[in-house]
Amino acid sequence: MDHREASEALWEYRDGELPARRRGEVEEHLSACAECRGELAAWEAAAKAFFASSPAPSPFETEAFAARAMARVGRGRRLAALRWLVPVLGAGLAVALALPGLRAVPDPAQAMILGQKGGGRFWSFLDQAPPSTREQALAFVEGQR
Amino acid sequence: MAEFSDGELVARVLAGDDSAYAELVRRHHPRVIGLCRSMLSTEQAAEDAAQDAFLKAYRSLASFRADASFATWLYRIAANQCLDCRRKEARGKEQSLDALVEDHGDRIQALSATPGPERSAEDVELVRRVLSALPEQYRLILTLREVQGLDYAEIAQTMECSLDSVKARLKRARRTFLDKLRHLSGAGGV
Repeated sequence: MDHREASEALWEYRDGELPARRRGEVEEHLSACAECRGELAAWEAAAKAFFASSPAPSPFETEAFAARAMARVGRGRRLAALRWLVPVLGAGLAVALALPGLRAVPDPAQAMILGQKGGGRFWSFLDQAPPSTREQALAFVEGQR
Repeated sequence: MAEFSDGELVARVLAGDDSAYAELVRRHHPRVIGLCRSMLSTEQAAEDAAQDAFLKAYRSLASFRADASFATWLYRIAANQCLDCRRKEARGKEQSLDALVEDHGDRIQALSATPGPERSAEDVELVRRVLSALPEQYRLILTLREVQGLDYAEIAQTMECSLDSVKARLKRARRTFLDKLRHLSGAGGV
């Protein structure tokens, strides 16, 4: 195995991923090649310095983590069970918003009372009312003056 | 529950037994939290990512193939969760690896001489910053190999790539990292 082949196989060798025969070839090369030995040693030092594993969690920590995880799972399932409510609530809201349009147009007196209560709504209501209603409402208001 | 395999526990969860999922969480928590701690900046971020990963796994259980490894399937979810978290973290706040080497060369060089448990808080923070400066795919594959001890086949399943791709990425990640650190001494590396 020449130097180029050995340096290509170096990391697989280091990670224990080479079949036995090729492993032997790399080891033979390493015994004679300071550059490849230096590369391996540099990586071992870097891995030790920068990729050390953190301490394993204690059984208590794992149990507490599992309790929190299962609480989230439970919340998610309860929310999923209530999903059927969304279209029902949506339909209900749509009906509630449409209700004012379904009311019969009030008579002029009622229109004026509505207008007084709603401020500017009286005038916009009159704009939408049929002409006869508008005349009666305005006549009523004139009569009150 | 401890006597059941991961596949049997998954089947029990899908049949409605949530206590089986609690056993899966206990069984795989150490490795998932270890991965998240290695990938993310703070303990809280790691805890949140690990919790989110287990929740996503629960919701996706129906898509888990019984002939696959639950551990690598879960690792994939956790790794993607960590990568998403890193992308959401503020960009531009971390120094580049070149800049860190320029500013803290002596300390980085000395790190290899200081065992983990005896490091100062400043050194621990410097290690964190160096790892944060790595491209995320390099950090992930190096973490899976060096910290989690996954073999190449497991890494390929976790990262959803080929074995050849794993070999190539590991080679590039290690050589990039060593080349950056070699600026410190100019000759031998760390």
